[in-house]
Amino acid sequence: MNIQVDKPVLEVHDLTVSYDKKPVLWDVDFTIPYGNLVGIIGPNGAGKSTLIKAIMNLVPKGSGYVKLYNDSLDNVRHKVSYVPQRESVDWDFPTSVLDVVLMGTYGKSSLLSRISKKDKEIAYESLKRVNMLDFANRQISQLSGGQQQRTFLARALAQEADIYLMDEPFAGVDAATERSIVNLLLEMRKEGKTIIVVHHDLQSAIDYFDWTLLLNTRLVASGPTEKVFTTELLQETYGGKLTLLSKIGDLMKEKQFPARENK
Amino acid sequence: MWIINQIVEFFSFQDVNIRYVALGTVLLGASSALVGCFTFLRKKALVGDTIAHSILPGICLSFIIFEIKDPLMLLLGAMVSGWLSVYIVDYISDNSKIKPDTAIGLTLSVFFGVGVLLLTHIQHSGNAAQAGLDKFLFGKAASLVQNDVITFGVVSVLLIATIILFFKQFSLISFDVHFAKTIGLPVRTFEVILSTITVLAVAIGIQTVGVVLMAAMLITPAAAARFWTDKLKVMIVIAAIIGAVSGLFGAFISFTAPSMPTGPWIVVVLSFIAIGSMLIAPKNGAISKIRKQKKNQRKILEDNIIKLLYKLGEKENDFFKNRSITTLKSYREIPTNKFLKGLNILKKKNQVAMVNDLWVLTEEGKTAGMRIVKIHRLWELYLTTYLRIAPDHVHEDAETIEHIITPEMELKLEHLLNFPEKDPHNVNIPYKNEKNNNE
Amino acid sequence: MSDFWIILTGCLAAVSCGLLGCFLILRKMAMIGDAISHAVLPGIVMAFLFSGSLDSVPMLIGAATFGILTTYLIETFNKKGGLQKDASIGITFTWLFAIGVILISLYADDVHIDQDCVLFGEIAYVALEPLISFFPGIGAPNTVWVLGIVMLLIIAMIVVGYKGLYLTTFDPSFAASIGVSTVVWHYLLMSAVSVTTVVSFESVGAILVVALLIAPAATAYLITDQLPKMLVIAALVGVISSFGGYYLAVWLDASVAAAIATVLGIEFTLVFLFAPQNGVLLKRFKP
Repeated sequence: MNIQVDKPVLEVHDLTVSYDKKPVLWDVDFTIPYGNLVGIIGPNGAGKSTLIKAIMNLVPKGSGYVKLYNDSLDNVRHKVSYVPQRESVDWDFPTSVLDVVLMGTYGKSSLLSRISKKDKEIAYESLKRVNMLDFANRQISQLSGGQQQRTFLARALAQEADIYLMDEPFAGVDAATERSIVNLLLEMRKEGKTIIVVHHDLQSAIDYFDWTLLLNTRLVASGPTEKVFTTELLQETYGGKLTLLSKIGDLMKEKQFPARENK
Repeated sequence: MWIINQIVEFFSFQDVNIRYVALGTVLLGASSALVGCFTFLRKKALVGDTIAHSILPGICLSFIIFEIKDPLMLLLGAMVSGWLSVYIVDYISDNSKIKPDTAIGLTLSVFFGVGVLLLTHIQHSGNAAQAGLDKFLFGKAASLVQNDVITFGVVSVLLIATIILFFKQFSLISFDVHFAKTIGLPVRTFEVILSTITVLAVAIGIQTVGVVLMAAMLITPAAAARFWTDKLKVMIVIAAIIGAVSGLFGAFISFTAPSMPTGPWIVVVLSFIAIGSMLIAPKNGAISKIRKQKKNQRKILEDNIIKLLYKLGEKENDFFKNRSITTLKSYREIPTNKFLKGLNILKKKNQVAMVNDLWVLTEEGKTAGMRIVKIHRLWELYLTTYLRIAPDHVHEDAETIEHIITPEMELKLEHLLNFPEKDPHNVNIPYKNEKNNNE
Repeated sequence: MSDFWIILTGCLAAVSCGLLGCFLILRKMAMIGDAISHAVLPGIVMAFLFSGSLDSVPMLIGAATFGILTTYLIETFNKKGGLQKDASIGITFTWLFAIGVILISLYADDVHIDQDCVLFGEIAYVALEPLISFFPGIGAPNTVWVLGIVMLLIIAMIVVGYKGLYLTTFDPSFAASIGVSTVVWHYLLMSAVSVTTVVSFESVGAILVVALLIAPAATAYLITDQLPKMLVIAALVGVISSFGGYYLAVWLDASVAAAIATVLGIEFTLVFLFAPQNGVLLKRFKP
């Protein structure tokens, strides 16, 4: 079940990504349609984070390519927003919510330029949308998990992008915050944005996403959520690693074998 | 030649002084290396640096309080402040938002600053007995006297004995602290013992190499040894040997050029051994990685050529026709010199033969080629079946994996897929001893 | 008058180091700063050997080169060599420092640049340097000019590059995602550390440089929750230690550099125990 889309906003073609020569993503190939709320689902260690990082060119690719808006990432960066996992940042850092959100405006002008009034306006707007305007001058060390996540979201909004890639935005967040974030994402989708979310919970996935990717080192399925959420496909996703594939991965690491012949 | 005379004179160990110096540095090198293995494995390699900088105030205070340059008293002072620094580093990072690396840098520089404050105070106060206190900073093995060596010897033996006695426990807390806790091991106690012997090793080692370089005596032998083995017991022995040899070399240098500080030479030797190990060590070394990669490239080349010959045979229904390189090249783009290299290797393996200027498959070659083609097609089927990859996307993957699948995996594949006859593109999968292959 | 120059020298070094140190500790690279401050030694010696003088410019070039080399080696040993991070740092700086010491004892033993000096510096020598004057009426020892210029450059770098430094320190993944090169900013920072280290050597020595890089920043980190304030406070803490250290050294007849480091320790301890939000003792007694 790998439903292809004619004019995809995101195209991932035969992507293999290795960590220390051991493949963690194997021949992943899919297309995503515009204006959808997409979920990437799979067990721990399935490579979901790695997939997003590979799309953002944050990790090297062993094989394959990624196209956004039928172009390479470097040409369309202003349209793409990446929200990393919350743990990727040290929340003891001496900075305020507003300063973090302002980071979202950095990509719009030279890094050496001063922060403009327009930048500040955008930041405040974004904070308003996530209901964090009152926290603008709060130090991030004083935030709860949900507030931290909303700060990250506000930063993403400040980027004013068209496609958003979010890594576990609901991890460690209380139910009320989760609800409000989902509502925000649905609003954004109504505005025509595409949002791709790495998600850890099966139950809610059915409610939230229009389109789902089932991933376990390889792509198990990609398509509209109702079509993809079958018992058979879910069992395959969560049914443990493919033994032979795993063995071959180990062998590749031991022999320092390249992911593709010509590399 | 002067240098040969020096070597002979030194290594004959006839001079009593030389014996002491050599023995001292060897013991120091070995015992620091042993202790260093554990701090290395616990990823606390810079603790040695911390302790080295932190023992100075203790030594100076001891001198100020007791007004005597007795090595034992100084050692005691060193132990106290060294131990205190380790405790403080942990305390600071556990009880504030200050991160471990900052806590280490902060502690070592402040302690050392206090130490130098006391040291310069002592020096300027004109107390004659303090001469030589500053050798703690740079180390001069040549000035080791009998008493010193006896102290070192005793301490080293103590260290080695402790490590042997508590080897199991130290290993456990170095590899898997959580597991150790769950089985009820008093982790804290053993951490304290480990810290204590580390402080002890540093306190005596400093006199050979000085403060700044002491960290190297602990870390570098361990790091070097790590590249050669995955087994802890072997690792500590290798590390100890590296430490001892480097110590001896340092003593030698000090002997030939008494004005040269010993420490740096020991560290330079250690570093070369470590960097060398990084490059050449068989399993984990960089050069071995490159060698493996070259080997892979060779196999890929041979496989591709033999596979090409087989597939041409399949297509033209004639496996044993003579073919020219030009013809072959028209089917698969490989530079001529590489092609020739590959063909010649295959010829040596008796998988191809050369007839005039043409190349032909042998019976063995046919079998070899068939195997690769079979694996390629089996793997494609595996990808489409188990990984649900579309048939038009599996070829490139199989082009790579066909080179790596072992006979064992081949068997597994056959069973998993139930001896299939056709690949995803509806092409025949060739098995040995099938009627249609026996022409 | 000589007190003034000595204290001023300390202040200038303190401000430069304190500012850079804030970014170092926030990037969890305190020990890399420590490593660089030791590893630049061979660079200094080689600069001296090639240029035949103790002039600042060749020294700076030697230092910057070895600072970059250190950064590069640590990365390479770690990423390509498969050596763990802490060991990569330890092996790199001890090796380079050892080479530096050997070079000194082979070629430069008789010169002012000797081991003791490099480690401790002797800030009091500043008072003995002839006054140099670029502007009528304003004369200062050479060291002060150099330190002053470096300090101004560092302040300029931080002001102009604030966004980049802040971004790449706080969230390198996000930075990379918007196309900012974290590598460039990393090497920029490390080069600045190398240069600062070396200009400070002559007056305050290697050990004090490490203390100045880390202690004021760590102290400020416990006092405030805002980066701009942290930078200012770090500079202030350093300046206070310069005054305090000088008078302590006079009282005890000891090394000024060491005294400054000691005062830094005292400042840190006080803040660690009593700081309003983070002080340990205060936290214990909170209702």
